[in-house]
Amino acid sequence: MATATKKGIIERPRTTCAQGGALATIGSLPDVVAISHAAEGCGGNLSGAISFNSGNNGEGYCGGWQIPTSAIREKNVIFGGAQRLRAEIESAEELIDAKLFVVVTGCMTEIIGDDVEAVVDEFIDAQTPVVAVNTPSFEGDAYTGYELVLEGVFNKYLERSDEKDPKLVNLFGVIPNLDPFYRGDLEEIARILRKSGLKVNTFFTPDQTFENILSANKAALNIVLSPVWGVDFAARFEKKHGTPYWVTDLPIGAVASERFLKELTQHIEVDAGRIDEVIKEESDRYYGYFIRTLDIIVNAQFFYYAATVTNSSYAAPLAGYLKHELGWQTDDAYVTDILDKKRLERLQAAFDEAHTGAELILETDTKKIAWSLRKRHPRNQGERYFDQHSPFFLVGSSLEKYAAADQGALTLALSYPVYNRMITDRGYAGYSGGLRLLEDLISVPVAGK
Amino acid sequence: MSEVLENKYVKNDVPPTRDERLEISDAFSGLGCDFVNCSKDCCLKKMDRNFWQASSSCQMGLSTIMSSTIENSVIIMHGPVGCGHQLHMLTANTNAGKAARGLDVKPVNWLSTNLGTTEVVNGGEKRLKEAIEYADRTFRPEIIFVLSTCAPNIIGDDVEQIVRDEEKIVSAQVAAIHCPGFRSRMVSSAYDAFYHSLIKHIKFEPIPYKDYIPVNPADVMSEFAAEGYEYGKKHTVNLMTLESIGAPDENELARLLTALDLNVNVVPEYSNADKIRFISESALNVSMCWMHDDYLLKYMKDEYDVPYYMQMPLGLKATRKWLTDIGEHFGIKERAERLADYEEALVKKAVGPFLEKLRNKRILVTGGSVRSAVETSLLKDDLGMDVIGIVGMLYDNNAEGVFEDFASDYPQIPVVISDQPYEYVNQIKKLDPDIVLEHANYLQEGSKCGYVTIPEFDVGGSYFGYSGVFNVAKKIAFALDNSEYVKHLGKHVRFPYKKDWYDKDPYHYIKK
Repeated sequence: MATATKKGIIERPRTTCAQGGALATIGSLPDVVAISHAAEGCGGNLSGAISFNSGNNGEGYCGGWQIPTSAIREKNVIFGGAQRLRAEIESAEELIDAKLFVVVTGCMTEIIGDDVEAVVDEFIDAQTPVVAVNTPSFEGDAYTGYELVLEGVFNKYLERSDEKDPKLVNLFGVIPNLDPFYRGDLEEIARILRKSGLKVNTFFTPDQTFENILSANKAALNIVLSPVWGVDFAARFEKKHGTPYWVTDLPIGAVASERFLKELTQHIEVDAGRIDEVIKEESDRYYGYFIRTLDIIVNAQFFYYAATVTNSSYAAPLAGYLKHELGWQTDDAYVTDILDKKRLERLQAAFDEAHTGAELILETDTKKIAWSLRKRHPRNQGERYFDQHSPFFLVGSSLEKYAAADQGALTLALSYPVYNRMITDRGYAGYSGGLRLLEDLISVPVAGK
Repeated sequence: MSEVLENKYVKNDVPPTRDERLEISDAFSGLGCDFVNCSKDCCLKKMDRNFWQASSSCQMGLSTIMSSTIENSVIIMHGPVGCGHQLHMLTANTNAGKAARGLDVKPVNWLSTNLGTTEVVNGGEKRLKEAIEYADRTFRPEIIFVLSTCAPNIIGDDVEQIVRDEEKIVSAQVAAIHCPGFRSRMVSSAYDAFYHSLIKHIKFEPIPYKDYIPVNPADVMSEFAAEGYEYGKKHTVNLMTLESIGAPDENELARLLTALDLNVNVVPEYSNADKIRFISESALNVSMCWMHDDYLLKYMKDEYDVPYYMQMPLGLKATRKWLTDIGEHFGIKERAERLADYEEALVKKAVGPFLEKLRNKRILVTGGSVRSAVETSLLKDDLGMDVIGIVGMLYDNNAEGVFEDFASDYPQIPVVISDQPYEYVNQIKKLDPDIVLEHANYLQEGSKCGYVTIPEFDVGGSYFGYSGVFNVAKKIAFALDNSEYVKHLGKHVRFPYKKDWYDKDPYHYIKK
């Protein structure tokens, strides 16, 4: 049993403060614009770095350097920053074309105790509505920043609607940028759900508009595609809007997708016959491609000992795919999130259920992951017969490059940060995603040819 | 040594920000002469905006860039977990920079003290001590940089004292970089913060028996060797690094000085503790930017009596001045003139084929203030282009002389000080240039407007000296050859500004 993350020093953290996650989230919500109530550097530094680390994802509509900011200075730290925030919102109302402003805070404005709510309340009649989300950087990390923004937009800004659309579902738990393949993953899940006869709000993909946000309160079901992130939010969403939620793993590959679709029928009214048709159609196509890769895989013996280094959302789905679909032996599943006991228990339960054969290990520090691997899988020190943990494939982030070199392992970066790849609509979820992951993994050993 | 110290701040624990010690600007629009007058009358600093975008990074951001170039170091971000997140990106880039300079490429180890609510309430000093000791025993670095961010500066952690205490305990040299973002409008305050940390905590002098053998009166040859060393030192130049220049620029400038039989040390970035100890062993410190190094150079003048020289060798005129001024310092001005004559003839011939394509093309120059002002001569005088305006991101009056020259040489070219994307997009659409020269990492704004953009600098390219003139010409000609990418994509971009913004003055939100 893994232990919860200790509070303390983190080496090369794969997360930011809450404001960073909040900005990443807002930056992918259609027509929603963040206002950073912090020092001038925070908004651009955080949002820029996170986008870069997410497959070079660019600044988007009003992210990165463009984020409006109160640009708090020393005099504001001493005398308060409310006046500056007020002026900034006034100017933003005049200048920025948005449907909703979300004010997020930095550590300096939280420490000095600016009453952001009070400032935002003054804009109750403004043309573009403004909502405040406190994102104190010392209280939560980027993943909690995501939850805080969802809370602010969907549970605070959005009114309750008693009218429900029995076919409408909202997708949560896939986090913009911190899940670098968020758009591809969401689009694929939406695709198979739509094919099954449902309507889907993904919120964070380019096809979405502000109307999708406004319609979220009419959904018949919230699907949370992470055992950890977004679960508490979904519970509060249910309390306010009356929409039940279903927490499930992000399905990767045909096996998991089939299970996902079958379980779906227990949570929302869908035509079971249609689901069977979708599964048949998708599986036929999937294996039509998959089987043609068998030749190279068995002839070249592309079977590996594997270790994964991911956030909590990807741990079980990835290790499960490697074991059940590729036949790899995954022994170590490192999770780099900062998790308290409650969240860890949720993750552990979901992980155990996936029967990956791997041990779940919580570790935030990059170097410690490398050392742990070395300790768990020692290299031959000159013995004649040695059960070497090889061939070895380390599926993690761009940071695992050095650990992989240490272990003599192949490596693919798919978990945050991914800065050595370019990502657009690629995703690893669902049927299409399973094929993409197969391509990307096997391309590593064949690329050297 | 002079009686009055040029850098009177080094005795302080914490360096002043540029806002405190200089006349600064991040918001101005007008003509060069008005700008210089305003700088002299100290009316720039008063200017502010009613709308800001988060486009300036902060002095902490720039401090991470500077410190991540130093070999065998560990960076400790003392703050909440978000500060320093750009290091993932930076260390990938600085590793490329190390490779380009033939240095070892290793993972750059950095830590966050990850301050939580408990530390914000009770102080983060204990956590910082733990981090320094952990870094020392785990990574065995030569230097540990502690970057003190906003939160510890508000709650009052005495970072300087902790560093002084820890220096006695750990084997690494520990340097505190005081760089809280909220304290300065100028990212360039980071230069001073970084140099202050080196001055206060890193050895600047060679160590006897480690770095050299002291003169032994019993050994005649040791005196002979020492004289030889002194001779070498008298002909040694320190080239001060810039984050905005890469190996190609350093190589070009070192090539030119070596051609004058001078020894060249490139410091302090992309060096290490061993190399930094020789920073005091030179006859002249040469800085390529007035707004970059004065804090360190003035200290070196005070402490080691090493004179300094500042000039950006960008374009033929400035490069000739750079070469001959340095030549004059060493009494070889005439040789430097001959070298410049030779190099100029060579490069003029080389850029010849590009000139037709570039002639009278309307170019907007944006980026670093000093660069933009100096580069005007390269673009206008060397390449025959029509410079329609210059935009500097930040200004301090260290660069007043540069702008005096600019205002007298090019009185009609407008000067803007801004790094704000909304002003920039408005301005660029009004000016409708053929091509835009942009600060690295800001090219997207002009490109999204549908304009051809090229970097004003990038660390992989060559910009300074004679090879710089050739490469800038080639780069612009290449970019103008095919503009379809930006022209096409520009049509699909939606900017976050309301339509009526483009009818307003780009500097509408600047308040005087």
